Amino acid sequence: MAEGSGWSLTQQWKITSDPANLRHVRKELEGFAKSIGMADECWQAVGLVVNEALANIIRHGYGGAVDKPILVTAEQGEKELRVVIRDWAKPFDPSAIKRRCEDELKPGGLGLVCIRKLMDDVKFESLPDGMVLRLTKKLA
Amino acid sequence: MARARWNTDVVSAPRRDGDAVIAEARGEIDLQNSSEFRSAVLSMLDGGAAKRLILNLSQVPYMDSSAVAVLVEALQKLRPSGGRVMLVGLQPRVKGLLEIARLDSIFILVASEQQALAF
Repeated sequence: MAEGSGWSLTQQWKITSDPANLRHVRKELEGFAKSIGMADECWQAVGLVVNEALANIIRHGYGGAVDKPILVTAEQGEKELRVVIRDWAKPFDPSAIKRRCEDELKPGGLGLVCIRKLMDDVKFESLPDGMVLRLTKKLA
Repeated sequence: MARARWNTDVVSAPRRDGDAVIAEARGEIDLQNSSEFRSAVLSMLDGGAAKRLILNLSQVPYMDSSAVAVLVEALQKLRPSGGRVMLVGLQPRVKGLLEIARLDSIFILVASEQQALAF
């Protein structure tokens, strides 16, 4: 549901926390990012990061429950793409999560590494009833 | 590693070549099917006979961290006995993810299965 408003385009996805929804949202978001002129490596980064953020919400926030709500909003800015991911899962403090040692051979924690490395700006906001993750990536 | 019980589309039925177990993965791998990928990959290492896991990823255009975690887990399983995980034919997005995670150097990346077997 893309809406035109001057130079800005917005698209939104309301999904449940079923992993089966992840791929669809990622691909639509990548298509949206391409449509607003994002460079290949940028839309690919956004797709991966949103995939990782949603996976973290599903696994850790909702504990694997498949029927919980997640709202993803993508908005074209003048020179950047902004993505806002809202969930109603148990809030957490991302600064309290130990940063993964990059030489460490362990399976977990890669999602946050991707999020932090690939976006130009990342903001987590705790709300009384969940979390908001605000991601910004320059178009090129 | 019984072929008769192999029932996943994510990874082909594995075959053996000396101390190597070889299989091809295909399609996108993310949270939706990474548990299936995990079961397939780890079952190839059951029994401890394989020292090298050669996984052809040339038909995998995309994977996320849940799939990479499976590869790390496989390496953790093989390393104590000096084993290795060799990844064949990585597509750019998959290679990029390994680089972002700084994991590209812990796996052996090769262009072909022949190259992996000759390593």
